[in-house]
Amino acid sequence: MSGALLRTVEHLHGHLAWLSTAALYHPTILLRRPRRRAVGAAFAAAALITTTAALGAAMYPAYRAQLKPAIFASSRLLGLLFERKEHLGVGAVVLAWAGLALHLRARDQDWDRPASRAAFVAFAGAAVFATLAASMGLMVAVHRTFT
Amino acid sequence: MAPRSLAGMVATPGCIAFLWAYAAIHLAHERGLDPAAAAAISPIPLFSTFVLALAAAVTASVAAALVHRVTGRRVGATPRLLAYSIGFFGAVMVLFP
Repeated sequence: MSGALLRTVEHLHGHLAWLSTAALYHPTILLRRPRRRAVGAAFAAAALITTTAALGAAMYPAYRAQLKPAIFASSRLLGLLFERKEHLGVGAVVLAWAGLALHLRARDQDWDRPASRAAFVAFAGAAVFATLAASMGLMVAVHRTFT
Repeated sequence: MAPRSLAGMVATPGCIAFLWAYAAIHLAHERGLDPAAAAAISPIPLFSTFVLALAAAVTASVAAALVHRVTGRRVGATPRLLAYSIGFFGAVMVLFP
């Protein structure tokens, strides 16, 4: 990946991260009520966080080669923050898809209450993880980005 | 049962298995005890951990679907266990980056 393309993908990834974080709160809020329909919001949130993660994964090898050593050399705390963010982002993606599947099941099974509750829990977890990941990513991006 | 509903039924066991497997593989990596399969999958630990945890999730989901098919029992969605698993995963990732 060229430097210009990396910077573009990095910016897109950062903006999409905050957008998908906000999007994950939408089904979380809606699904507090067990019989509430939120298929569109749930699918959009899962698709957005997956796109964000895919862009991050595409940049990750370049990050490891170009940025990671410099970040750790200048601040170990920031380097560890970035490591945390990646794992929390993975958790957010998995929880968003699980939440969508659980919501669809709850709707199909005459509002199966445990599935409905589990969908809310999954989206709430995804939203918290995404918030933490986006915040940590922003802290690192303020410090150092692709040049 | 509709495929979509079956997917929903096995989502919780799959998701819980993913979170625990990912945390366990991550902790093993932190202590230099990477599973042999990890290096074969990818030299990048993040990617190999994800693939291995996904394999654990698929295994748990298939097992839940088989239990349903053989015994007729539905593996219930367990919101509380899912919540504990999310908390455990988050704690491991924050405390052991």
